Amino acid sequence: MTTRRKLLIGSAIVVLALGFVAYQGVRSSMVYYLTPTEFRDRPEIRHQKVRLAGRVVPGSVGRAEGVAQFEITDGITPYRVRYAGPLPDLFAEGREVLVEGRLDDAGVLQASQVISTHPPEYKAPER
Amino acid sequence: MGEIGRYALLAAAIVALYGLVVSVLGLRWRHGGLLESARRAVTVWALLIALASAALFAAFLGRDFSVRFVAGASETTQSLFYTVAAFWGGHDGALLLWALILAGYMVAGVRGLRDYPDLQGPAVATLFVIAAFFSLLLASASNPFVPLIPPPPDGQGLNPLLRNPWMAAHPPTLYLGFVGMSVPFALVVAALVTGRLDDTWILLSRRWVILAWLFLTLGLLFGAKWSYVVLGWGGYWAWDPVENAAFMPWLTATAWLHSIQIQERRGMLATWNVALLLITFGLTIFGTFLVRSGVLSSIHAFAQSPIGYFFLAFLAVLLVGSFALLAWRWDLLHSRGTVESVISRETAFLANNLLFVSAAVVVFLGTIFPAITEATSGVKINVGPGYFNMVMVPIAVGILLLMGIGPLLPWRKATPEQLARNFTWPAAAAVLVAAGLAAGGVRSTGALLVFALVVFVGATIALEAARGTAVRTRRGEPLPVAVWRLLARNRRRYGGYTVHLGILLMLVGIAGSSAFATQSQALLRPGERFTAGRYTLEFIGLSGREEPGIDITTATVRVWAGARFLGTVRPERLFYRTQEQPMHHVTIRSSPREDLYVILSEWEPDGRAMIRVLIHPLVLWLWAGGFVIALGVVLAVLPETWRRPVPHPATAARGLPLSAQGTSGAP
Repeated sequence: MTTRRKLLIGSAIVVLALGFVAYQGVRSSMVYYLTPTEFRDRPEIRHQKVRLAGRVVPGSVGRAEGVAQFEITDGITPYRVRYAGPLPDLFAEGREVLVEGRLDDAGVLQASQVISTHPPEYKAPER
Repeated sequence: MGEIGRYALLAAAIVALYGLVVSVLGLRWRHGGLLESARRAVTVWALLIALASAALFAAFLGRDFSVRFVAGASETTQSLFYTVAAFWGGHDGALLLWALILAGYMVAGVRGLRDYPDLQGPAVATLFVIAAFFSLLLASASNPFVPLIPPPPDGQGLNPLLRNPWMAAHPPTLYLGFVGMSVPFALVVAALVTGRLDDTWILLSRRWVILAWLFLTLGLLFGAKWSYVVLGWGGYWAWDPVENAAFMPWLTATAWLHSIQIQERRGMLATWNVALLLITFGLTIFGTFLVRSGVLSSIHAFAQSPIGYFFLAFLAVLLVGSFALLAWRWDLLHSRGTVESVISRETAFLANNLLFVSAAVVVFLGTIFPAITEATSGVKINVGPGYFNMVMVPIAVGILLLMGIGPLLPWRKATPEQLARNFTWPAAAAVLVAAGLAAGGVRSTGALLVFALVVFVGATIALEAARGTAVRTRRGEPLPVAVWRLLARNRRRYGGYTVHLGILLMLVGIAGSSAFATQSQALLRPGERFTAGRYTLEFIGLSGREEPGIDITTATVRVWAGARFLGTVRPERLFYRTQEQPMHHVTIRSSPREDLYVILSEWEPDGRAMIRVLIHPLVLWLWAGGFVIALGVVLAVLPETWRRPVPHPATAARGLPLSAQGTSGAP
């Protein structure tokens, strides 16, 4: 076997192996990214892990013993969220947030992560 | 000030278009006068951009809130330091900074080509394509001098999260890296246009790419450090699209810095090196696009700004144009050598490139995955850090292994004796350390593997340096002199090893902090204690104070390690009244062994406070590694200025001296 052929076969094995790992990685970590209304309209993914983008409904935020409860909405569909963990600094009533988690049987989104939309750096707050 | 800035940017756009047209016509008609005029336009353009930047600085310093951008990113109470940093604290100013850095690189790059008139013309034209795009953007959609009427009595202030020295330094550093790839890009396009596709363009671009690479590395690290100390979640990397944007060109640039060595030594991979540099530059523009357009952070593509379309069109023009040139010149880029044996330096470099480019593809696909699924199925699907970690860990392990093997493999073909001579001791050291750590209770396989390989690579470098020194001491040189001369006479080689050592330190920090980090939290009454790892913390109480525009709540916490009192830490929570935004001041007690990271996360009206404690082992070494990398790059780049020989008519080529030095170890 020529050196060139050995190298090609070796490279192909490496690429295929990485492709397989990448496929597994996508399957295990994929999260639907939707607005609350889109999520409501897709019952087939009701129990999947999702990331919803919405505004925090003013007056809906309650915190006790390290657990936060609030509602998010896209202006049409609200969802209640429950989150046991520290809220990000940019979190505030009326602001955009991303909430990642699963819907429980009571229709409350049990969040594993609450993320403020990243872009302070590139978007000056408008008033 | 706003007026001056607006006119300067308008003039800059016109000059850039003029420079582009004149340089292209000058090339077509082989008209020296037109080319000369285009070269002068470079200086004029740079001065206009500098004038616009000075006007923006002056507007910030003079608190001229009739400029909308200034009103959006500064306020009267803002300190001088952050008033200056506010320049790049928003989208439009950041683009102006981009252009300012391009202006500096353009002047220096075009000057550096004065001995290469045939390459200089097309390089000027290429740089003007980039300059014209950014000038047009700055003169229109991203103009930082848009007036605000009537001017408000006070500005909105810089986003509090950006009021941190690391974030002040992060954008300029990162842009020095991004924009630094423009000159090599112009060089390779010039080489393609003129058909001068020998190693000249590589020798000329190498220094630029190494410097840009260093700035990219530091920019990434500054951003990571900012995230670590400011965001209050204790992490430094989240595979966020904005981070990936800077990481992708870093990966391909690293691949290029290795693969050019095969071309220099063995005349192979000429086509690949051209393509890799084109892709690297494309990724810097793509990265700027990702960050500036907000395309991936918003739920629906291009919801935020029309700038995304401009960028995509520009990127398409650049890539299609430059790859068309490559296809046109394909026949000139033939390989002068072949790989003769599987176990050789050549193979190690090829494997290195395969892994680095795979890593870039993996990050690219993960980053644009939501855009792909939105286009194919109408819904965005994100892939999380899990995907990136699963694929990147094996790639990193493979690269680490190559980092140990590659530099000590001879070119062409390795014999079993050479392998035994170079790798027996390092492999034994790695196995010993891994066994020791496992016996000492380290259970994470990934971390054990990384630590063992770090020892292996470190040992190969130490062995190599020791042998080099021994040769000199046997000749009678005293040890310090021998070490100094070994480094000084092989700067590129030992600069490279130093960079490798820095990477090893970073990997120790990354592996340690990701495999062994712990966190705990407790809601404490004043006087209560709680234990986190080997630390005991006592919450003393809360106190409040005010600074201009900021309300601050401080928790006083006393810390013991076992029975030893370490001191008092005071994590704070701030509330910026103008921006209505809370923020953390975490406290970090850093030591080579671990960081103790204490956060005041919230409190109850009855005076109880939620204190979060994170323990990050070895994370200090991540930052230390960055410092060592910078040292290594300086060592590798210095020779050219130190040893510039008297220009010889036959080799009057600037840049050649660097290549004439010994570049690799195989005798």
